[in-house]
Amino acid sequence: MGIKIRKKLVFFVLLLIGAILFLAGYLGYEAPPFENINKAREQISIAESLKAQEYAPAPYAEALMIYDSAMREWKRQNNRFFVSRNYSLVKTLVEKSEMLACSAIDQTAINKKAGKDNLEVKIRNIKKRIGQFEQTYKHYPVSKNDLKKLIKARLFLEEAVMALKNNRHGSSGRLIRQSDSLIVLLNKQYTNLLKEYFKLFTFWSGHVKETIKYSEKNETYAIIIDKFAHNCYLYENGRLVETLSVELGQNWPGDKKIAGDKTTPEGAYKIIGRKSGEATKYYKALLINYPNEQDIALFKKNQKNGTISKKAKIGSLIEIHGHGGKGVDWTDGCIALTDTDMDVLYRKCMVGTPVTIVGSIKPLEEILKN
Amino acid sequence: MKRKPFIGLTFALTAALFLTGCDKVPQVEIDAANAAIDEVKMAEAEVYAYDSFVMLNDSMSKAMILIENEKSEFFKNFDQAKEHLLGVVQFAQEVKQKTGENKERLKMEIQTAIGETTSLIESCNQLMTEAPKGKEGTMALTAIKNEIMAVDVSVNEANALLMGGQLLPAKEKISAAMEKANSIKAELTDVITKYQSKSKRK
Repeated sequence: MGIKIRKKLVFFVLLLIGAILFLAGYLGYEAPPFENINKAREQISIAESLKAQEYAPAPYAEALMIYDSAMREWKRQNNRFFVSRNYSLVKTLVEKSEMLACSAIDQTAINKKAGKDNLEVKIRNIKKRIGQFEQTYKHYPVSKNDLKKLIKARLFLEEAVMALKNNRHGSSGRLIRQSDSLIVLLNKQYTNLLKEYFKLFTFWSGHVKETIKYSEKNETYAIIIDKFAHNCYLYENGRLVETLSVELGQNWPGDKKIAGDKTTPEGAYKIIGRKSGEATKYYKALLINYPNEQDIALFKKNQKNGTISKKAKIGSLIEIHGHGGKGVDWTDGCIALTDTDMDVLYRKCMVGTPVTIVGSIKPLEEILKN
Repeated sequence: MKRKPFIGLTFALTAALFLTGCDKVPQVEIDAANAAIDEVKMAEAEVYAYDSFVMLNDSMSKAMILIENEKSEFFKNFDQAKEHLLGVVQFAQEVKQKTGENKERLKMEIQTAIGETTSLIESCNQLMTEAPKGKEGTMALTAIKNEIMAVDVSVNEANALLMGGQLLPAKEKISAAMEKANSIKAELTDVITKYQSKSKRK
């Protein structure tokens, strides 16, 4: 009987100890940082919705990584016996994750704005460069292929604007780069062509000075045609009195080599004939002495050295005439003015008036700078 | 004899205690939610219903927190987590549907824009035939013809993007092409008017 009582007593004592331990463990049990974890999750979600992965990748990725670590640590602690669980590391990690997510949100706002501003600036700059190219080469015969490139550059830029409107900054940036590379390529290509063409600038400049000097010395009118600017300058006694727009042959850059090359000749000429009424189909015309001696000599030299065909003929009947103002270069090598402007020239310029035709009166540097 | 019911009662209580404290993690529901999210990803919700996709991901994270929190409890009860996971599955279906709708809407918009731009190109080509045939007019129109051709290329590219399922780039491309086609039409009308008025003056 005594043994039975003792056994019962031992059983109850053990049960009591167990109950006390359980109660102590339960009361001393540390709850996991549920609220902190939720806060971190919320902040990460906000950051993701703002596309922090794109605009603040470093803090966002770190916040995500630390959050995952916190979840793993939480699982690890949960696998332990409940009285020995310790969530302090979980709490530290989620607090850090939340802080980083907040930082990612702030950085996203800043970078998004800066990124958008940056793309807008780039778009504006490329638009400006396309505009500058179009302005610089508005009269220059740009090839079909290059014209397509220019149109493509404009279309890429339009697409970039659309992508930016849709907050697709990455795509917008890519399209901007595509547009930029096309316009850079075109600029480089045509600047090189102009550099080659403008190698004759000193020669042109000399002709221009001589013509103005002649006008001043002989108290007469003189015409200077600037092919690049598509302008006709009328000088009276060495002073510029008129600036008129002209249209030229389709292939105006360079000197005229053969008949039918649709190039307007370059050199020092003079008016040798005046036509009006039924004498011309272009309202009024001033015939110049093309080809002059130098042109004929050059033509023969080119034929001799094989630069031009033996069968080729030298051009003639180069005139300054009316029916211009079409906005394109359409003549076979003549210089066309509007009928109103032609009236001005026709009234003032008589046979013998010097006509100097040059590539440009301005140096290339000045043109490109403008 | 008196001890047996007492031991039995203690055993039963302990078993009940353990049974209530050991509710199972809702793995089936977790797997179902993950599968639903995978389907949403496959539907490209990340591209075409981004905000909803982020919300869905967040909802899943919340479910995992609820589960882990229950695992921390001595008396586990995953009912709330299960309910939440069912909600995730349902939401995933909604997001998938929304994604599909958004894609369809976008496709329709692109197709309409392609149709409109093609019509614009056709009317530009028609205007080209009405333009004066003089060499100067032809030159001006050749430049415009090149622009029309470039727009036509853009329409084809947009079509290819549409076929390839790249809807957003396709939309941007066709929008730019349509804008350009509109400006060409206006420019062409101007050129024709200019030449026509000049012809009248002659």
